[in-house]
Amino acid sequence: MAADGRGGDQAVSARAAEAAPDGALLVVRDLHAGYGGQEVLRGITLCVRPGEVVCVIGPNGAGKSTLLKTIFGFLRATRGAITFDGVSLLGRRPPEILRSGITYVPQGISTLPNLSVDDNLRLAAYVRRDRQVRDDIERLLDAFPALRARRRLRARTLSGGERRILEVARVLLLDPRLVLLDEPTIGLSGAAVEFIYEKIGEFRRRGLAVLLVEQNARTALRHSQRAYVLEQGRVRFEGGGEEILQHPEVRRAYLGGRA
Amino acid sequence: MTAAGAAVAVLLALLPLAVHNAYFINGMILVFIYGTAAEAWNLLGGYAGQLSFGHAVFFGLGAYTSTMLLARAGISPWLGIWAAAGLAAAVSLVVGLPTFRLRRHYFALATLALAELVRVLFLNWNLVGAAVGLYLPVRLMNQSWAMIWNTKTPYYYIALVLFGAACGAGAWVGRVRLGLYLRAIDEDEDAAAALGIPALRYKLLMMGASAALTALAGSVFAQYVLYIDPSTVLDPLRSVLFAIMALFGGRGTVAGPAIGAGFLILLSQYLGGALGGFGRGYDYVVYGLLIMWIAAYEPRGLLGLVRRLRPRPTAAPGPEVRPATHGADTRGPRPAPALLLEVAGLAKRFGGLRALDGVDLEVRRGEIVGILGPNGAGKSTLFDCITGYLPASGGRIVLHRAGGPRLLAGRPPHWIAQQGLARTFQLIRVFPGLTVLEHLLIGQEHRGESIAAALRPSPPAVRDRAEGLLRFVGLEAHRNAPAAALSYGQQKLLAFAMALVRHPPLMLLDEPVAGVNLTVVERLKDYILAQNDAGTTFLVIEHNMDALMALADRLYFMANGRVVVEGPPEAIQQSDEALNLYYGR
Amino acid sequence: MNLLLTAVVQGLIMGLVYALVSLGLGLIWGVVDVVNFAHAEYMMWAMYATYFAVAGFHLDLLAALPIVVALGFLAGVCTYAVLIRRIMSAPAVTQIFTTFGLLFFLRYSAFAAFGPDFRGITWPPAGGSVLILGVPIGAAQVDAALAALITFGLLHAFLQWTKTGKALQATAQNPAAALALGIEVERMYMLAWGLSIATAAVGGAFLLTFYQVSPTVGDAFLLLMFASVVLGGFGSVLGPLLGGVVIGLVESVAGNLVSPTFKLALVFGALLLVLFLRPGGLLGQERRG
Repeated sequence: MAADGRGGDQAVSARAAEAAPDGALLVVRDLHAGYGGQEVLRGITLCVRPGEVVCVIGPNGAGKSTLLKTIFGFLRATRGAITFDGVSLLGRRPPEILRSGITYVPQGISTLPNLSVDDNLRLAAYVRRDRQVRDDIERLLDAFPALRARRRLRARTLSGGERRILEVARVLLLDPRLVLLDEPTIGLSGAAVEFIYEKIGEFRRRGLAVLLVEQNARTALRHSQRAYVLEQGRVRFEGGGEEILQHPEVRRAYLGGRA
Repeated sequence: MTAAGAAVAVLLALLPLAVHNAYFINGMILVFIYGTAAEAWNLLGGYAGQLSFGHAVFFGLGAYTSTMLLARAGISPWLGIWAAAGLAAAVSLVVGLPTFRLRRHYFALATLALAELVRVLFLNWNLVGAAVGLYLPVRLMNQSWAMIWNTKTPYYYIALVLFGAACGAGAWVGRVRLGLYLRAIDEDEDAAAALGIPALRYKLLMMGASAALTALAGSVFAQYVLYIDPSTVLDPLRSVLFAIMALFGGRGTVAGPAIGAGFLILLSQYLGGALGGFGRGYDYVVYGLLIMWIAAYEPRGLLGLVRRLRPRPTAAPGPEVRPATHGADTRGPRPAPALLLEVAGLAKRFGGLRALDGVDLEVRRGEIVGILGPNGAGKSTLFDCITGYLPASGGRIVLHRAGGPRLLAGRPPHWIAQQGLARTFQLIRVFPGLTVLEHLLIGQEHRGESIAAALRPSPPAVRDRAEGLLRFVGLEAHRNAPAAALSYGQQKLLAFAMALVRHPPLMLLDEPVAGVNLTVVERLKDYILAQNDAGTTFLVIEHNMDALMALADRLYFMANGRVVVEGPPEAIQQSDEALNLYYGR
Repeated sequence: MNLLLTAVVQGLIMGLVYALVSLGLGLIWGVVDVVNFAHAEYMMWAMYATYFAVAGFHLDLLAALPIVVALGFLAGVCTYAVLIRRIMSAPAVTQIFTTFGLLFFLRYSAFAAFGPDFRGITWPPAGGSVLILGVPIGAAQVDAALAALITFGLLHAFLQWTKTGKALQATAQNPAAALALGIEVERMYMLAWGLSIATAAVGGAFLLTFYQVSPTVGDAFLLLMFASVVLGGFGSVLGPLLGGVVIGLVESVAGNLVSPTFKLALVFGALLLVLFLRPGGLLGQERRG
């Protein structure tokens, strides 16, 4: 470990760029990050390709949310590399990363409670400078009729599910290439979960890449092309969604293993 | 430190014999008087972390009380100052009770408003001279019983003794248990309450002591300047100055306020015009700049700047410790256990959201009971309601103890903790500035602890127990390191050990092994089992299935604010309902 | 009855002025989550700036106003950039301590520069008095109240109808979520400080037409400002407006009907009552942290 000096890190990131899997949009290589002195990510390597839903599962405290926060620039990486479409994201702030084509839906409620649904949508397009925003919002409301009925109401009056739908819907306004979703179905009932995954499937069909963190692992795995299992800030297993779902060790440890 | 303090005291005592410059001696008298007030402020604002911007009230009350007693009733200030101190303490307690419910800026704001209120009242109260103020009877000049002289030397010594007493009080508080309790309250009042520390009691105690000491300073000030009116002794600026002296020098230390008072007053003297008298105000301009600079770059004050120059002690790496050898196998069959904790129909609503929707739960003596469920199921809310951190919206919580059942609903957290119920928090809450050993010392039993007891150091039995627990969790090498210097896993161990000090019959653990590495998980599991063997009952929230399966005798599975399934771990593992809710279909 | 009407009308007018000078305090508290104990000192400096523009450079008040307001905006932005940015994540103790340092610095540099004298201006449009509901009120006060209404209207419109205004609200409600939407939170904080001091400058300029300035003028206003903001709650423009008017009414009614000497005592009493009973303010909700 001690031998890993600065030169070593650079060598790793150089290799990461070379060895980027074919057509990968997001490449994370040997990523370390944490809060204060506490290291939460202890060397994570993963990639996401366009048109692919990639799911990250693992027990609480494994570093799933921290991973997304670090990719989006909320946390500073202490070591390793993050590249998006070949460009390094390290040291860039969230607004810049957003403009480069990544959107992030944080864990918990991130709608603005005292602003209307309309305003929440308009602010979702905050970084857009074009005049299409209004039309896009109208089209979006057509796709999400539940929101249209409530467009003038404050977001605080929406139910948990409706707020989650609003958060997922506003992703579309930015026409991103990569979406980071942190527990999009937490606290939702079955029908709402289905709806969210339907929309995530739509993202994928449009060619978006989705990196998804979920506690609700089975459903998430079923809707993912590939998955990573995190433990103690490292990748324990990786593979196709179904493959992980059937993996005996993963089943035993994380899926309440039963035949 | 004590030797240095004694040397400074001797030096200050001899000073008037060597220096006869009246201007300088005047400055020193003011340093002592303001220094006393700053030390007094520090008892509350420094140690207990309650920022008062209304201490001029106590200063003024002191000045007015002794002056009124002398001028109107001919009572010697030698007695009058004690009456003043008593009155100020009494007023402070009446004021403190409602004000201590406020936190952060609101407390500071309330004290500021109270001080203004009192000033306006005095400005219009004819009995105390209203806006004209009061003169001390100068006809009693040089009569020692009246504490009035036309030389500065007697004032110098009176002020010095008072200042010495104030420093002594600060040093004493810093040395006994009370000081630790106050630092804990300052750093995290909720976590302190979880140990059973009655925060309000100690805050009121410090408020009273602080007010009394400030009043003494005010009395002596009045005797020295021989004239008081609301715009001098009740000036809100004076309150701010006391605070700023303490903060500037370094709050929560003995030397800090003293250094702050000395520095700011002598600075002011030599920038022209003593404090209170208006020069051109250059001194305050410089104060302002210094304050902003020090706040932005060294929040610990001047003393912090000095400390920066010295190397800081850090946590020794220390040897990795062997896991405890107790295992699950050593647990024998249990006798039919008695009910310990009973939760019935517990409800908690946040606005329209039902976080807890009628939870029923029982914990029997000697059990380890696990609570499992998806995020947002209401698990931590359940703990918060049981331990008094959140008021329940309905239902019953009963702790069955030897002295009979106790209803916990509606009781404050420290009271519940004192009934023998310990808890840890999901996000660990240790006191970053306290050392590892200090954590264990404040973890002692607080039930029935008197104020007099808090004014003594921790008894040997507590120290032994603390040392024993340090070894138990393998933190003895870090005993003098501040908690902030520990790793996350070590902090979890510390939080666990801290809750164990008082042998709680029931412990509530909120995700004890989340976020720690596998070795620490194993160790924590062993510690919980060992402690369970020693007679502690556990209620544990945990996401780590393996850990929970290894620990728990019974599990409750919660979802959407309700208990969905209950039973032995194997049964829960086979429950379709639970698995669907937890992992999705 | 007549006495009460007089008190109410006077209270309403003065309340609007209090609301205007308090507005910025609530704005920073709500958006930046910093309590600026030096807010009244900025108002004092704006009064001096107005004084020198009008008495020194012979400008009309309305001509001086844009300059004073622009200076105020700049002062706010600089305060954030130079000082406040460094203490954003510091404990409350440090934040309070810092803004008290700012108070000392601003107040006594005015003292050093201008001395303790009281100064005022006469502005011809503010001479004489007007009848409102049959109650004679100084034209200067009425002008100041109008300025308050216009300022509130403009700020309300800015917050409600512009993208930047919405972004400012978003920052106040959830800075992390705002950042995730690409809002430059730092710039929003700077803007909030600029607007805060700019509105205090409007208040100071109009206050000067009927209230003389001295370096310690802030003393009389600081607690009134806090009372207004705490009473109304922060997080909206309407909070300080309501709070200021209530404070003005309490002060005026108490001053006219009870005793002029205790009117301030009653205002502070009202503040304490609200602190103890509803720390979130009359309109507001308990905020984060």
